[in-house]
Amino acid sequence: MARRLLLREKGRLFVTIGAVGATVCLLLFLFGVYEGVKDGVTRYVRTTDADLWICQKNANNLLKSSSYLPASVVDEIASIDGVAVAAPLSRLFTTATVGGRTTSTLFLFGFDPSRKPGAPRTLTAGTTELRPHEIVLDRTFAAEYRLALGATVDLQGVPFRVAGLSDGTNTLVSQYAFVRGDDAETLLGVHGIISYCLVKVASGAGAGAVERRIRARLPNVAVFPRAEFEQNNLDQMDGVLPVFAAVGVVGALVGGLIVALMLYGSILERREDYAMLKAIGASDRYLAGLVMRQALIASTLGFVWGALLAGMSNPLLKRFVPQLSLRYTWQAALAVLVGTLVVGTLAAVIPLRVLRRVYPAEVFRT
Amino acid sequence: MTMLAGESLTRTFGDVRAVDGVSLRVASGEAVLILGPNGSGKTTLLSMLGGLLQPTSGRVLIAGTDVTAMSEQARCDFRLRTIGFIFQSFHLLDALTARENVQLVLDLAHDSDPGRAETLLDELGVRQRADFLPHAMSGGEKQRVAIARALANDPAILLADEPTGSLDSQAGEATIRLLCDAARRQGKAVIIVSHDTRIVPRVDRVLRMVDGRWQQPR
Repeated sequence: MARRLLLREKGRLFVTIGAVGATVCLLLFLFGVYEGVKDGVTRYVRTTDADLWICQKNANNLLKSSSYLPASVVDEIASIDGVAVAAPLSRLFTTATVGGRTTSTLFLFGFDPSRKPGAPRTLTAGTTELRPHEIVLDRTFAAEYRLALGATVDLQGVPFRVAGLSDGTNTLVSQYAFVRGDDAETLLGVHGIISYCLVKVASGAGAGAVERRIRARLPNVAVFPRAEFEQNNLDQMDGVLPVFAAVGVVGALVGGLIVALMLYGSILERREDYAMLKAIGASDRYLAGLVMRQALIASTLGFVWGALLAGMSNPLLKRFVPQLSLRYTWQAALAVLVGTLVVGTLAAVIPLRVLRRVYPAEVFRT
Repeated sequence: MTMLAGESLTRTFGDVRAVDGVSLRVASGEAVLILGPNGSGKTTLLSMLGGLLQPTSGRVLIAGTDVTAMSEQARCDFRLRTIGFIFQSFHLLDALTARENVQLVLDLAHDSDPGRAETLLDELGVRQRADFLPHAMSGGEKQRVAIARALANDPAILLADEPTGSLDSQAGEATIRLLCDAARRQGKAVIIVSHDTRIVPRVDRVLRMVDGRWQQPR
């Protein structure tokens, strides 16, 4: 009956579904951005084939800490028992010039192509076998500035040819780019300095044991297993979570109010029907269930519409806002669905208060 | 046997005494008509007799049970099983078909008889309208469906508020005949509130109400 009652007021139902759908789309979009950024700040660390990350003491992440190490530390670490590969990684912040236009700031990493750890592992095009003055750009950065493979970008007046496009290297506020270590050193303007040393542990050596040996040999550096270093980077996102949460809560509130308004209007308009139902013996529980089912049906349809809207708008967003890395996950969709149903249920509370004030004797007024 | 009794029923709304110390008894199988002009208090009386409105003073007994002493929830359940209501403007749910409107009452009472709604619609001559929505039916057909709904749980009492008010004379005549037949054949206590004097010859007893009181001795 709940479905039939809703369908008798198609206009009101469609407006509600549309509005709840827009809210759901917004929430999915927020989750998508969050997951995209989360991926952007962790995927490089997670996939670059290093078991241990070594930095300057007190530095613990890529995004918000500075780390300088003498380049000689790489050879010293390489000589430690159980280390298969030790590779240098430089990091600097720089803008580029594309067609006379200055770009947003890049996180530029300089890695040693001959030693592998440090190269981005997820490419959408091109190669990481870089020659001098070649660069791998984040794909969203390249899309934003319309750069394809073979295009040229200027870094501090030096032209670099785009040799590859990477994925999972977009932190939203900035993107990663990769050049050879010697090119990075030139751009940095200081020789003999690197930012990190990446270690690949020899098969059977045990990362924990190697970590302890490095700490013992080099007490003035910080050593992190890959998972811990990845988590450290993720922790840097804590600042944006309240913003996302605030927008999400406001969105959910708006969605809830829309459902409440629809039910409120429906009950007022159908007041005599509810009075009749009370008169013929429908219990408060039955009527509450009826209103609740209407709220859940409207919320569920709103979710379906919102999910479709998010899916349909994804290609458009990719085209017109290329710097966004959206990642829609089933966990996020499930969370939004549960949230929508919870808010929909809560939204029925206000109309239920109105329903309680409908008296069965009102049925005789009309 | 007295099925329904109102004892010294009074209902005030602010300073207005809508019903003022009214008593009546209706037996099983008896059809009673309460006549009176608009504002005379007859609908307020009907609301109290049906357990929809608590009297300011006095009490309502149905088959010896004091309805006015019950909790709201108990009264609601009691109404479902004991009283059938018929309204001037039918009050069928426009989202449901005729069959579903009747079935609704059976569902509320958890009556699982699948053929009951169909049988009632057949008895009332509207079986062919079972799958129609109310807006596709005439006033007379709607009122027949409403009577079928009122009879669905086989209640001991039928209360009808201006049942002919929205009908032409032919449909009104048929409606009253159905109600009175139900009283006689099925032993139900029927109270009809109306200002339609054409009903008078059909009922067993007529009471007249003015300004919240009986106009003449019963």
